[in-house]
Parts: sequence; C-alpha cells; structure tokens
Amino acid sequence: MTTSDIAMTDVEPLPHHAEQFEDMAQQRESATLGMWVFLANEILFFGTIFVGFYIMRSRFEHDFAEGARELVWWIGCINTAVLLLSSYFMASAVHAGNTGDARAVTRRLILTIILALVFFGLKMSEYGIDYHEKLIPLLNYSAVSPDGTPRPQHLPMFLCFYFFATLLHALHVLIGVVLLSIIAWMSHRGRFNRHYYTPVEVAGLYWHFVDLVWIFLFPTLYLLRH
Amino acid sequence: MHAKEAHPSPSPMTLVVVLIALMALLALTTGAAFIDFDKLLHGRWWSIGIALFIAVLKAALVVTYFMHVKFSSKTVGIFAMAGFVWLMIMIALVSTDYLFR
Repeated sequence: MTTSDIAMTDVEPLPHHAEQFEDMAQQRESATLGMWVFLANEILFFGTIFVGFYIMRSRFEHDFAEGARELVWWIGCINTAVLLLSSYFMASAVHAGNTGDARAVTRRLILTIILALVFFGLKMSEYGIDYHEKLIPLLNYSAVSPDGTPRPQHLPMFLCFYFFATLLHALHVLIGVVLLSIIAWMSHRGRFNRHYYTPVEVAGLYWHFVDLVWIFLFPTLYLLRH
Repeated sequence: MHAKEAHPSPSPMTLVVVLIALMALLALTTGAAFIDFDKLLHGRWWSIGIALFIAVLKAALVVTYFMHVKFSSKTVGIFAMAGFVWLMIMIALVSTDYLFR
C-alpha cells in the first residue's frame, strides 16, 4: 500500500514533503539511503579495529587468550543480552510508528533508552573492576596479577584494543541515548503519525548498528579464551 | 501485512521470534567459549571460526529483520551490502599478506 492510497481513505492530512522531493516515499527512501551511507563508513571505521585485532591475535595467540580470560565474561554476556533486547524494543517502536501508534512509539523508545543506560552502567562498573585489578595500560597497570603470577608480555596490547574498541562503542551508545531521547521527545510532542515517522526509522538504523558492533565485539574480546 | 500499516515491515510476532533466536545464539556462543575446539578438533581456527560464524548469523538476523533490509527497496539493499562488501575486500587483501608472506 502506498502513501497516496492511505490518503484516499484517511482523514489525517498528509504531511508535506520538502520541495526537493517528488513525494513522501522518495523523501523516506533518501533518508534511509543516507543513513546506510553513514553506516557503511562506520562499518569500515570499526572494521579496521577488528582487522588489526585479529592480525595481532594471530601473532600473540597465547597472550591474547590470556587477555580474554582476564575480562569479566559474564558482564559482557549480560550486556549483549541487554543490547539485543534494546534493539528489539527499537524495532517494535518502528513497528508502532508504522501503525500510527505514537504513544507506543514514545513508550518503546524510553524502554530502549533505559536499556542503553543499563548497558552503559554495566560497562562502566566493568571498567571499575579492570581498574581495581590493575588492567588499564598507561593508567593503572601491573605486570603481576593480584594472585602473584606474572602477566604475559603482550597483555597490554590486547587491553589497548579492548579499551579503544569498547570506549569507541560506549561513545556510540551515549550518542544513541541523546539521539533516541530527542526522537522520543518529538514523538511525545505528536510530531509523528503513520504517514511520517522517518526519524524513528533512521534513528533505529543507527541504534541497530550499535548493537551490531557489539555482536562482533563480544566474541572477539571475551570469548576467544583458548 | 496488517491493513493499517503504511509500509511493509516484519510483524510483531516475527520480531519476538528474531529476539528469541538472537538470545539462543548468544547462549550458544557463550557456552561454546568454554570448550577448547582447537584442541578437540586438532586445528588452529575452530574457536575463532565458530565464534565469528555465530556472530555473522546474529548480525544477519538484525540486518534482515530489525533493520528492515528484507522489506526495503533493492537500492537500500545494495547500499546496506556495500559497507560489508568493502570490509570483506579489506579483510581478504590484508589476509593474503599475513597468510602467504
């Protein structure tokens, strides 16, 4: 069903598209394409970190496996579940936009934001544990672990990858929280209806991408323990 | 598709099924991390291979259903694939150096 079909049977007036577009459908398609172009950049941005990590891991396999064992795997696992769930609420917020249920859009966006903050909080407490165990190169690092055994020589290299990748990801989570808060506010103010909810969709694409990066970060950093 | 929907999109039921599948794959990959597949199967790449294979499955579910690529135009599909294809080119060319030097 196209937007013009709905206009025939609906009392709501169609929102007017910007003048450079033929119609609402073309405007929506352009916004989606634009977001995917940005995400293609992001894929390559994060991709270089993964490529660098796996090259170094192939050279220092033993030290990198030790690095994975040093991390708190269960916080990483819970955080993955939290992000997957937040992505689900984001997808259902977009679905609510599609059926024109603005209240459900706001509610589900707020759930998404709460889970994003839970992720961020857990990540920060994990950094706290890392600090306590002297696992932060340049800030608080010890070549000897708390139980007295010496740490492998290349452990700091693993940890640099770990902190750079997860901090960059955490920054994306924070940007997501700000972005989704603005969209939730717009939704609360009645800016969206079933003919126009593109900002919800486009912000959703960004949020799912943040989830996507973590889907690869979790096994890469935490699970290669042998 | 529900008659009231403005654009083709996955049903609420589909979204729930995808979420359950994602959680199951998370449990699977976490469980697999505690088995030393490299020792078990006498190879060097089994653990990385299994972990990344499950991650790719999860990513495919997110991109297809949550990010609506299955329900979008072909142009959006091509744009969405472009980033991944470029990343594959980078990985392939970099690996030739490290695998065959």
